[in-house]
Amino acid sequence: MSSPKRDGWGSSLGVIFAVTGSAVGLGNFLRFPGLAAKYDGGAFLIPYFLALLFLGLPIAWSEWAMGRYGGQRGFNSCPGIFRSIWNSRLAPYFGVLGLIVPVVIYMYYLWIESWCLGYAWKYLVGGLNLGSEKSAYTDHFTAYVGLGADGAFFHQGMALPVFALLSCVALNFFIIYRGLSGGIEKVCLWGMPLLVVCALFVLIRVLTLGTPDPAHPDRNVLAGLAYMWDIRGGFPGLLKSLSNAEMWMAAAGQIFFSLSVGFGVVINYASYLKKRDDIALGSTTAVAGNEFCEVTLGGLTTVPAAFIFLGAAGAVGGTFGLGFQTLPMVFDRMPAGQLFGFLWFFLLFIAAITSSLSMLQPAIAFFEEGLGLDRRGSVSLLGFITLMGTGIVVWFTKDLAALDAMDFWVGSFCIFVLATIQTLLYGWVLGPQRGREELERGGLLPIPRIFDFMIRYISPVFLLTVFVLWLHQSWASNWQAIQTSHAVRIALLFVASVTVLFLLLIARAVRTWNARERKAP
Amino acid sequence: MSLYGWTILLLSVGFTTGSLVWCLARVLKNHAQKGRLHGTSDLDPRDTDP
Repeated sequence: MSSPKRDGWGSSLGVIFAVTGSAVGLGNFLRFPGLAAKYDGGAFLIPYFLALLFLGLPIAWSEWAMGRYGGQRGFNSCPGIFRSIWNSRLAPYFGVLGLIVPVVIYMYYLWIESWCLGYAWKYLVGGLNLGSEKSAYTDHFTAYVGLGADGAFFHQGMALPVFALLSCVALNFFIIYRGLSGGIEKVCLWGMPLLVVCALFVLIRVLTLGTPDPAHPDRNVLAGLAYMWDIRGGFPGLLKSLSNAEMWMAAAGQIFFSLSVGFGVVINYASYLKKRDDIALGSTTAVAGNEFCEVTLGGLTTVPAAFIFLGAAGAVGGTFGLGFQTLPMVFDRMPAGQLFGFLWFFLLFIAAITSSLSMLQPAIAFFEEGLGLDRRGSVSLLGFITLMGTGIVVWFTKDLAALDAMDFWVGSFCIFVLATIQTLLYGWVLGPQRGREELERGGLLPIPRIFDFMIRYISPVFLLTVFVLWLHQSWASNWQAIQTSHAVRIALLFVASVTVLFLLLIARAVRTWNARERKAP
Repeated sequence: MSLYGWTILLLSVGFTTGSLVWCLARVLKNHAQKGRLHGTSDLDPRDTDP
């Protein structure tokens, strides 16, 4: 089966930057450093790199291989690609996860992206000089997001937060409408180097801070780096840290979410590659790019900066707390803080938009190849669905109930399920032999033989172990939230409705594909 | 910072930066070579004037 006019990448560098752009997000600069600081600094890096080798890299390779395998058979969407790999009636329906995961994550990610844009703008015009009290920044964030009550976000009228959100909606759909090579690829080819340049400026600033507050000589650059990287308690401390199962789970989870594996995005992006294009080196480069942004840029900047100005207590926190409440306080105390505050939030905005764009493409591809819609039609349909979802997230702002519910059930739970399905599809249905043929065709990097064994046995077991442990830890509170919060129930009802809609559309697409294949000679 | 800390910092930053530089260099090298090959293979003698 082939559509009349297929989209494609303009260059090998373009697809690598696009996949890296999809993977690099707020998690690289905020979540990773926060976790490392929480789990005994440098000790965290040991399970982290082991998870990269045994989980992240093999799944990334397999996703690229399956994507191009499906693409060569005329499919760019997850349902179509799964159907081309697995000759089963059920196969395309499992692919629904490859559609709803990116689409639903987009619904709330877009809002977070607009916070970055709004904060960057505020720094540019000097509107975030709130003094040295943390409560001022917390109050500002609460008012900006509308955390106080449901609907509070809209009570601000056409203020900056709403304007930033609408700008992000318009920007995303304008870029996605321009297509793969004309939109996403161009933005990533410019955006990713710009992101790295901004991050390097901020990094140099942080590493040259010295001891900014003479009243606290213990808060200096070296101490900040030590807080992030050192092993607390020497060798016995390292052994004690490594015996913490929770740290292993957090490290594996971070690798898994950071690389955007099991998202439905990489498999879609790789499907646009040509038959003899390299995927072995391309996928490895994308992984290396993500790790550079996370470990080098994120690891050397965020926590050391927070430690230097706020001490150990200020250097720990969740993604939103660290990013939107602690760091603005750091920029307030930093020389030329307004400029570096702008650069920081602007780089977060670039990281976010290159990720959000990638979340739209899998569904666009499905609408085009499954329903026969043109670009305008598919962008309009997806725009309508995602705007409804974003509306729900942005209305139920109290304690971010709708956002948290979608993030848990789709942004974590469904990702684990999809990654497990993909790993089993590659290892046990496509098989290591056909998979290796795909990886080696045009490959510019030899893939070690042990990969076949790892993807068949080690990665699924590793993945399922982390999944079960993670579920055991977080299931109870999220199940309770469904029973107690109507915002959570409405958000999940909406997600279920979108899933049913996509399942019905897949059924229709399958009928079309079957009819076309019967007609084909 | 202790020796353990420096070791982990240098190994982590060195490994991630080094692997990105190495991979990008190979991608760019191949990009340039492909461009040259294209130039040669795209020349079709049937297109030239007699």
